[in-house]
Amino acid sequence: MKKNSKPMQNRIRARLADTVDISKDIILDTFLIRGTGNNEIIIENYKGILEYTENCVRIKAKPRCIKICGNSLELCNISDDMLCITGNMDKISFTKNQDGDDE
Amino acid sequence: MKISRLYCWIYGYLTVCADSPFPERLINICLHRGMYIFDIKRCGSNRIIFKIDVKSFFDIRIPARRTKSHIKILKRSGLPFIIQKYKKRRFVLAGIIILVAILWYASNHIMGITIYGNNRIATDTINNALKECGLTLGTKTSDIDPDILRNRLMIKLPDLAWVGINANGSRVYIEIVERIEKEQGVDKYAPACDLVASRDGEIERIEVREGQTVCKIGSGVRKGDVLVSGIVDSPVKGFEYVRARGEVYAKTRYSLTRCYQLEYTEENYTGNKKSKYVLNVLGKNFPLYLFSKIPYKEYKLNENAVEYKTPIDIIPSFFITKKEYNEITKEIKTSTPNEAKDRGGAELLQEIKNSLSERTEIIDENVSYTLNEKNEAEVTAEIICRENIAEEYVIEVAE
Repeated sequence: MKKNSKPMQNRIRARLADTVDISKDIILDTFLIRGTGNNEIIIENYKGILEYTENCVRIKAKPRCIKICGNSLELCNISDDMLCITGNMDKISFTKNQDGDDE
Repeated sequence: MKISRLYCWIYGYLTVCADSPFPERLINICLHRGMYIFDIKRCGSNRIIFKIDVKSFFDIRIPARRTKSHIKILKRSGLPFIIQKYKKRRFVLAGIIILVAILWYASNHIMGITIYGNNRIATDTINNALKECGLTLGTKTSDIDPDILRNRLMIKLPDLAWVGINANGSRVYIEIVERIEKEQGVDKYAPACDLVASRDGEIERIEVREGQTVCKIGSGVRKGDVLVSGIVDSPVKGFEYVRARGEVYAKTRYSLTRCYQLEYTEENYTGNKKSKYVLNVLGKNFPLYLFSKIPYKEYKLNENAVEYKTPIDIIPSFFITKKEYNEITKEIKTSTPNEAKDRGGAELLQEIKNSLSERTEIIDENVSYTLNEKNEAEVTAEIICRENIAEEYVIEVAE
């Protein structure tokens, strides 16, 4: 019963966001990605950096991890809730969190 | 982002290199502790290079210890470090202060006045008037009120019709519109005069502005005849004296006669020439040749002097004169009367043309000849012109 409560909660929250016309990332407490071409990506509301190399950046976020692959990747601007990644990006994928927290 | 970078530059930032087995962990801890780090670059498996503001750098010790990282400063950037660098160079500081002072002065004071649109009124006169009105080089820009300045300038210079004053930065543009010029030569207090003919001629056009016309178009006049009278009818006094003004255009003739001998000497160049050079220093001539003898019996000499200036002003310049001797042969020839007419006619016509004024319009040219008893061609050149023949002649008014 408890297992099904979170998706239900999310559905209600999404509905509420649609009804009152509020940004979903606020209501659902999820990440927001903005990109400019394949050279710059800004991720808001992330939790932390899991892995950072020149070719791959893995970012912890809710509900899934974000994996960005490419080359010459740099963490251009970084703050507590916002991360700007620059470089030549080839692929963005969302993977399950390692701790199994798939919400 | 830009603002935070600017803030960072003002307070100073460091480029550091961190060698750590867990670089991601170091970044996360730094962020959670509220440190400002940016431009993170991965260099190798265990090394990251990033920028950090000076204030945060002092707090990095704990995260570094927790992640077993070794931190090394690579570069110091920002305003505090620049100041520190130039602190000992006092003259640089003095130069910057002087530069700022000059910029401040130049931007708050008038550095140039541009006057345009004036033709009759001299720019110096306008400049002097502006100075008296309170606008000169070095005046504070805040002290300039264009409306007041315009009114003062209009009062100072009565010939102005309109003045536009635009202060653009540290330069003032003064646009001048002058009043329409009064008719030149008109003087109300000038003595009464007639317009009389300056030459014999046949009148073609009359333009009278003042006075009474006494001649007709198509009539012939002789020199001294009155064309426009300065005595005009007056309903009050019966008559009055005025200064007659106007133009009377007439067809006039100029002729010149000269005798030309049919025998004449013709000079022909053989093509042989010799050049000699003379150096002139301080008015003294120094020949630059050995033999002064001229190789030709008959010759024509052309001289051409070229000045050579020295780079130092106090040393006078010197001249090199080139004397060119051209050999000629003289040949006595006899021309026909027609040839003499052509030769003499061109010469006489040119002489007449040189004596004419610029406003005279040439209508026709004629050249004729007659042979006299001495067997000479008497060539007559005649030019028919159109010109203003009116000239003023002062009337002697009886008291």
